[in-house]
Amino acid sequence: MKAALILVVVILLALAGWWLWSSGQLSGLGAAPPPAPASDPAPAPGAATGPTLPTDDGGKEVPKTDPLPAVSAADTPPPADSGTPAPSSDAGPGFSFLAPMDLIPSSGPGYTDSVLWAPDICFPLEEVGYANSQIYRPGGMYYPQNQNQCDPSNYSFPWRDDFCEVRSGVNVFCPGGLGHQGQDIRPASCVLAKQSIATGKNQHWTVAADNGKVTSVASYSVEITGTTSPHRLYRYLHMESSTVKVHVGDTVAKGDRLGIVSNNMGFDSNGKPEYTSLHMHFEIRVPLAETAPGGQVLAAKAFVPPYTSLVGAYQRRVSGNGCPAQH
Amino acid sequence: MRTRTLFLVAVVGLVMAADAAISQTRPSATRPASALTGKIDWGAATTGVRTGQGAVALRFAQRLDRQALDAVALPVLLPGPALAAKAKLVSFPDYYAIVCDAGGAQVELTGTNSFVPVKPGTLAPLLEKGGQPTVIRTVDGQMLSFMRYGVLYTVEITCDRAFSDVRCTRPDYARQVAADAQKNVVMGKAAQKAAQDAATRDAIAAGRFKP
Repeated sequence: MKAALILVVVILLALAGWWLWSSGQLSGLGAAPPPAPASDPAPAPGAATGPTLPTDDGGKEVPKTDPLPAVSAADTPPPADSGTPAPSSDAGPGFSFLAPMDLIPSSGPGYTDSVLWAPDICFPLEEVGYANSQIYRPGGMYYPQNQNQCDPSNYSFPWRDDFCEVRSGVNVFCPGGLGHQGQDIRPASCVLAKQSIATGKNQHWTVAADNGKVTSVASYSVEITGTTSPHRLYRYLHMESSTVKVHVGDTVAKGDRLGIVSNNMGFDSNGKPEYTSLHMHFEIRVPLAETAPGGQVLAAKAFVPPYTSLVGAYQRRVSGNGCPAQH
Repeated sequence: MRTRTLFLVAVVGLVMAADAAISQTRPSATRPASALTGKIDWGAATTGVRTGQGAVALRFAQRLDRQALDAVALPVLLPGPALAAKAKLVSFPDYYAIVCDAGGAQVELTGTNSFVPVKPGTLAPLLEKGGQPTVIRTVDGQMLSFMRYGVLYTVEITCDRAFSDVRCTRPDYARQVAADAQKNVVMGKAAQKAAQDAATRDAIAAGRFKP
């Protein structure tokens, strides 16, 4: 009798484990493909569900036709320090992520590549960060039912891959050769850089992911080239220009501050500022080479999937093995 | 019999649950990317230095760090004189980047012979078609890659007005920068030494020279 009871308990536990596994609530490779979780909504009914961005969008994070008005300090919801406790300055508890290559359903072609392209990088934000889509979640052009980019669901785990999400830029890892060329990451709180500079609070710094040299500081991007071969390029986009602390030729170490995350996207043809959502677009580029059937070596610098490397970096931080701050 | 079946189901379920729990702690079953070094055609590069306009471009490049140039063991392509005049050089022994202010835009020219190998066909969307490099759109500009002397060179244009500045919306400008650069090859001290060493090795292999 006692043995039968134990057996029943074991079976119940096993069934519960099986249900969690099969429903994807235990995330990570090996789990069945999970449905979009409640905090990671599927595209709205009637929203575009395929690669339908205009071909002249230039790979913009939020195209010009985006109905989302530029966010200003005035319409930003109360920041994290005026009610909601701010997340911990380090990784914080509760980190979870969906599997690499598991994009929001119908958000793009996705990709299949299991190479760890940058195994030892630091997480490129000084504080907590939320990797997820900018256009298929609240505030995004393909999520018209909620145009609040500061929706709490955007600032929560689990992370979700958006490399090869629908875009018009060339990306060799995406079926069809087009797709998002990096990973979008929201900072710790939804406070615009200009406001955070004015108040001195909620300044969300990007930091060097690798030891290297600064090889480009453009209108709204900074590029670091890693010291060791194959000299990976790390590109950070949408920082507030006035906060960028580095110059071309500077040597940087992992964890060095670069600039503050913002929604900067340069200027339009009339010199008027253009904006995207508040986030950092993070790219890794690597020189790749292949040998053609005739023996000819072909090479190109290409965007590679950063998600797995970012997850590893964040896990190291959570476990206390992250990169030291080098302000 | 029924007890045995139930026990089997329980064990299988526990194993699967354990696997899922363990898999949550690792991002993916991945392998790291490792780099290979490509062979440089030093003979062709030396000819390029002799017959090209590199020396002229170098005279305009007053802001170029000559120590950084001497440290690069690669044939270095310089942009045309107008851009070279505002060029900065950042280098590693097997990689360099020349960055130029182009007034509302930035031109970056890089070179390397350190690659990560990928399977044939992977790079098709990025490689030359009909003799022209494929110019691709980036989030803030345009980029193209091409091979010369066994070295991968990349031209990248970024613009303040990335969606209206024709230098970032049409392929012509990036192509012109790439074409100009291929006329302007120079070599610093490390590259000259590598070229001499390669010539000596070739001569020994051909039996023309005994050390």
